[in-house]
Amino acid sequence: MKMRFAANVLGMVLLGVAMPIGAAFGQQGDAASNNPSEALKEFLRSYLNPGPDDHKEAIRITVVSVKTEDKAGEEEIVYISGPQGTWCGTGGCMMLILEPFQSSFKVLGRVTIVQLPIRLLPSRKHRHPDIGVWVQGGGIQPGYEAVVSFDGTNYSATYSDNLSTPPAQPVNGIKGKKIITTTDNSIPLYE
Amino acid sequence: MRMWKRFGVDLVILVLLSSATALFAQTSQSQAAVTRAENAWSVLQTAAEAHDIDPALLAAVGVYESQFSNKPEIGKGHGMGVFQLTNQPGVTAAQAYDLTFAANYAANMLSDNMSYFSNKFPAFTPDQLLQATVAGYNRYRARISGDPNMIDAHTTGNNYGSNVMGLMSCFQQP
Repeated sequence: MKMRFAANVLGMVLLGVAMPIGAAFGQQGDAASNNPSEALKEFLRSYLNPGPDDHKEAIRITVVSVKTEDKAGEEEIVYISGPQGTWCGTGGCMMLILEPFQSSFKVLGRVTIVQLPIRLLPSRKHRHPDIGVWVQGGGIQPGYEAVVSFDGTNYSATYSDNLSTPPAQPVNGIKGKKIITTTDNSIPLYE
Repeated sequence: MRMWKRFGVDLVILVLLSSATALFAQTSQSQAAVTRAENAWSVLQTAAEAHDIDPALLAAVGVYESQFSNKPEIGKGHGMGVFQLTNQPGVTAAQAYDLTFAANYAANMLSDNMSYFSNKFPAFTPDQLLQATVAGYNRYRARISGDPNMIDAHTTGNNYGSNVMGLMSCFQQP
């Protein structure tokens, strides 16, 4: 009886410790496990197709899977980073939105200059979630968040692939979840 | 009726006045940025000469990126200092805000871009090469187009390279 009580207390203590960690992870941290499949890495290598002077060994990726209500059921948000001057610039780095397609992927969206954080917003368009990205640098000070929405075919058609120009609109006060906040957990594309 | 007319005239004057004030403020901010760059000319010149680039290019990048301001609140962690360097291996925050270090680092990036694009697109004219060099400072350079009309595509505002080049004229005779 005493043992059962002790086990219950221990369980509650552990639960009490674990819950805030889980909550904090869900609210603040990256949702990414960042463990992309070999198929995804292969697709990215082929898509980026770096030349001999492009320092491909420096390319790093951060990947987050998010659910969609479309046939594929999910899409991959990929932030491609690397040293400033090669794979990123003062405007930021590139973000791709990919959907599994047959045994590979297709590009639903490409935004060329994105700063972190990238946020998953609660709103959806055509069964795909809206994505919030930070726009700053290259003379834009201070920065702002812009929303990338799916238009039924892809993400870039609605807002162009350059959110520093119209018709991209700054947004304020939209609730959402930060899904990529840092490249600290990024992994090399070429190993 | 007369009162409404008067109100309308007052409103127009107010709008014009506020536009003029905003324009004046903008112009005077830009002039202040250019002056800050001119005051740092010896640092810029040393860095530029060490990397074989035009100091006016370095000055123009600093003015365009940060109004040549080294304040920590510019960039808020995305880019730091006059040249908006990011926190990455080889660059600490302290270094990014150290004008001598940052000018050298930026000059090295620009010089490296120039070599990269002159190898990749040997048919570029000097101006096109300069535009690509600058555009590559703003976005990942591997996808910058060899089509002279598309060099600035996907840069901030789709005109980053040409805007910075335009600013260089402020520094031809410092």
